[in-house]
Amino acid sequence: MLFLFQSTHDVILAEKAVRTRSIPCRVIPVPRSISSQCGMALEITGEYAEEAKRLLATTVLPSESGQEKRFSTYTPKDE
Amino acid sequence: MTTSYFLQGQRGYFDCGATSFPKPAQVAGEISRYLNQIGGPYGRSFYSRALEVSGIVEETRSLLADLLGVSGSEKIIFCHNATHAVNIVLKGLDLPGKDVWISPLEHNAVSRPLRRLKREKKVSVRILPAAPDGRIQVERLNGLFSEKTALIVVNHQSNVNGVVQPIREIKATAGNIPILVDAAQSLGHLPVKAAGWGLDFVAFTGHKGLLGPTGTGGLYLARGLSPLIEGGTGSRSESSAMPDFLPDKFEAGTPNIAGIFGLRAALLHRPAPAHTREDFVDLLDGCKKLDGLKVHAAYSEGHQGELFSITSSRFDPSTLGMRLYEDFGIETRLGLHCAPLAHHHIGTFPQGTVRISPSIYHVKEDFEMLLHYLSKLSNSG
Repeated sequence: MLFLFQSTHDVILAEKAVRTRSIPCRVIPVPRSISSQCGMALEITGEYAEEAKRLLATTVLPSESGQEKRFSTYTPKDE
Repeated sequence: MTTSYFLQGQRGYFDCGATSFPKPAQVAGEISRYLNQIGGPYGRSFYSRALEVSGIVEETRSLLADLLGVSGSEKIIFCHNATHAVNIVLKGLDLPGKDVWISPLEHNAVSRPLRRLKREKKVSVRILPAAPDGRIQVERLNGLFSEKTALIVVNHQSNVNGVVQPIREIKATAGNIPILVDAAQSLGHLPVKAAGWGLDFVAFTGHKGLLGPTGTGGLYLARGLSPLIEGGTGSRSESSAMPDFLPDKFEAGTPNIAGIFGLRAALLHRPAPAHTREDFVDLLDGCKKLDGLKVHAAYSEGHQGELFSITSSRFDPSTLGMRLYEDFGIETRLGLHCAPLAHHHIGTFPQGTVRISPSIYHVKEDFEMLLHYLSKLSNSG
């Protein structure tokens, strides 16, 4: 699963948080077919993806009320 | 010229209100490590060199957020200095035709942009009621503000006489009216609880009390503003509009990465003060007892930050400053300190003062030596 972020600030915070919890991840360039966003995405595979999603949404990058969501996810077709 | 104890090292530097010196050794080490070994951009790329740099920039932002008691480090914007941060606020708010209240001890970083806004945007600038030392009288604020009041600006610690303002009480009285705190002289020396005190904007620099390099600083913001400058951010690149999220909205262009490496080192390796508060107060009190010397400071020791000014009945400030330097190797800042408003208020305009602003590294004996030299000058013709 790819995690897309609006800013470098959020990518770095997210990467640090998932690594701290020993969730394997990789920073990759965002495939141009998806979106440009900040140009970087976090790739997290398999069973770890849902855990990372919960972690980011609840504690690391929660959206304040009325605010745009701070990250989105994308699942490539072959996953 | 006398070869003094001070000239043998860095002990004669009493100009930390201008910029702190010395710095922790790790500051220069980290700047060098970035420039000579790491390199690479902040954001914009996925390779490990860029990620390492981006990680250090974001760690520095988080350290600053912690220092200010702020959750959500994206609310900390990197700036060139406190002046830059102040300008972002003054020019980013909707101020035309409105009232802005300021303390009587404001720096030109505030008064100059406001002068332009007054001329071009019909902004009305008003001075908050204060004691003769410049400390705002909170009890006189009730009923002062109107629906035209758009902003209150307060210099947390004066760069002229060291008076510390009751920021928390001012904000409590102001209620929903936004407050901009200029923490250029205070951050690093005094607690600044941006979120805890309900502050809206805090402008700060990295090179004074935080002991970092010049060219670093920041702005904490809890309210919306228009950006001062626009440009590339590495995000939403397909759009010609600036991103509307933090911190990118206010960080167009490549930041001062080398400086931020140095600032992080300063935050992580801050030394404990080499002197006590009592040592500083002894210096202040010692100066007050010298014949022919007048100390410009807070009326109450409890409202005193760690700098003050002096004037002499025997010498004008320029001569006093030159004698201190040439005879004893003591480096001070003379004149108006970019704060003519403050000097008007405390009665030292236009000649100004000599400012004594110690280093965190000064020891008690340095203060005693400074007092000894001031005593020699006050007894000479």
